[in-house]
Amino acid sequence: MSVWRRFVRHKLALVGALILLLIIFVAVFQNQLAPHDPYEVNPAFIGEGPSWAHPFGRDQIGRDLLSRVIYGTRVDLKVGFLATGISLVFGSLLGTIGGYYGRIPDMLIMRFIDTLMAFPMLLLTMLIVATLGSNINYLLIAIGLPLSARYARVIRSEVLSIREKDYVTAARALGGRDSGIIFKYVLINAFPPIIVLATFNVAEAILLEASLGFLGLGIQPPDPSWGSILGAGRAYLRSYPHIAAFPGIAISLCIFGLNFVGEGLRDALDPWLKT
Amino acid sequence: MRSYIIKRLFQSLIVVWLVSIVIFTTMHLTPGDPVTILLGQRDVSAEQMDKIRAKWGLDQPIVKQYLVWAGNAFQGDFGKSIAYNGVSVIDLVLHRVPNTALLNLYAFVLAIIIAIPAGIFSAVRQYSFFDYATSGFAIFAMSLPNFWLGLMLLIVFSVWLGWLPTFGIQSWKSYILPCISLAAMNAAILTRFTRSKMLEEQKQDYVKTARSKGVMEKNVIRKHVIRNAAIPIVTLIGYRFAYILSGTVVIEMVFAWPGVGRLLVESIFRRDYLVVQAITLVAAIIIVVVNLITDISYTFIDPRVHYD
Repeated sequence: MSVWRRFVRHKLALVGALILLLIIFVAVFQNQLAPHDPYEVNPAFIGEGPSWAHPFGRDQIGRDLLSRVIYGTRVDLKVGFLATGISLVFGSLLGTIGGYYGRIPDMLIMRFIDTLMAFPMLLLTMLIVATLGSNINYLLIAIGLPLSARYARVIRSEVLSIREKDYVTAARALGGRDSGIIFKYVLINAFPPIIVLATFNVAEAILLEASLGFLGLGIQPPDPSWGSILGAGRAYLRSYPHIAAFPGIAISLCIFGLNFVGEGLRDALDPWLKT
Repeated sequence: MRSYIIKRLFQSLIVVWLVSIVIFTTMHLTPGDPVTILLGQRDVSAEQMDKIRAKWGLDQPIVKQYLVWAGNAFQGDFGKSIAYNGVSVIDLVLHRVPNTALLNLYAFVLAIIIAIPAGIFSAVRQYSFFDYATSGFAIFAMSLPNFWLGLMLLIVFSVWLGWLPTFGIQSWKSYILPCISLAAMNAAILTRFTRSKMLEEQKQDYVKTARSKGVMEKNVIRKHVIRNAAIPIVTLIGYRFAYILSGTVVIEMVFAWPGVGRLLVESIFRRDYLVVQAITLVAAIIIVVVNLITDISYTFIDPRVHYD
């Protein structure tokens, strides 16, 4: 496997993958890893700073911050991967339909994509969340929908270029159905750019969740997510700066890991990436 | 070429129209009645509520509301803010535009003057200490959410050290932290992009030719490599423009900056429809126009690019 070998040789990508695995490990074993109950309020120790018993300190209503950041990991990974999944499926569908049918369906889909891309990403997400509400499912749509435009573009151009290929003509001459052929070759050819795009998009989705949480539009209390912990901590910045600091470190670490994995994948898949 | 420009212009107009529909409908699907929110706890009879609705045109059918709004917006009239007691939306927004524009201009310039030289030097001295340090720093900066960077800078330089103001615009010092927070991500992306484009160009045959002709290395870089690498770099700067509003929204919230971004967030929470609609519409139009200009200028800058 030369792709695998190239990825492993990329040292920074390995570091990124390691960080990511660690974060996934934390998300899976949150119950075993969290030292305290993330929902247990303790008014006697509001905003207590880091200590041995509470390494990240306590939040504005006395909950253990480390446990909350640990429980937030699963929420953020869920948002990151599911929102990316939604955008990937929806965007690919749009791109395939547009590229394959051409004419009016293509025109309609392209204008829809242009419209999505005309909005600043965060703005569109904010509008959708403000309209639908901050429920996690709506949040996934709000983040996934704007991101889907890129996949649609990649897949569409791939379909368009493959339609013209000789092997499609040949297959058609042999009596094959070109929809089947195109689908097969589009999948093979579009996979490398899509997988790289998706890795970076998970990072972007997590960043969007964090921004929304920070603005008070994300996951609603008392459920912990990195963004919502950070957003709540903002009001106590002067007295308890650690509340905003720790979830931010978690977000940065996660994005750091994802970006490195993305770069590693891009380099490893380089021969298959045309653009 | 001309037909390409006309086609793109036409497409852009359609997109602006679609954007206006999306903005209008989303704001009207939003739960929460602006009149109820406006009145708060005050005890008001149903008749008075209806009167207030009629005053703002909120009792009209939605299609008519859209047409009236779009028609007025086309003439630069975005109506009156409900929350600000009838101040015209355009005045409200324009009043804050300079604050946002200046902040983002400084941040953009800061990013460019750091990133372009850094990217060029690390490409010219590839694998040097400078190259590694720059790349490491850029990757680090790319992973930091800008609002979190802003919060941390605020804690250190304003709260702990007390060197810089914590919120609003008090003097030129107020610009320092928001500028750095906004510039970090752009500087990082631009540095890495510049470096990779410079490296790509250095491998080209014309560079080999120039070198074998005996052109001085300084001139090879200056006259050949940089010039050719400049095309995609300028394009990227154009496209990064679209990210300005996303960035400025959160940063203005961090630093309580009296700009358009903060007005937008506050208006969303207050359900002040007309303000939200105006800001989003203008932002989207700016993006469409900048993308159009970037695409078209691309065909002028690089004669190799052809569109059909």
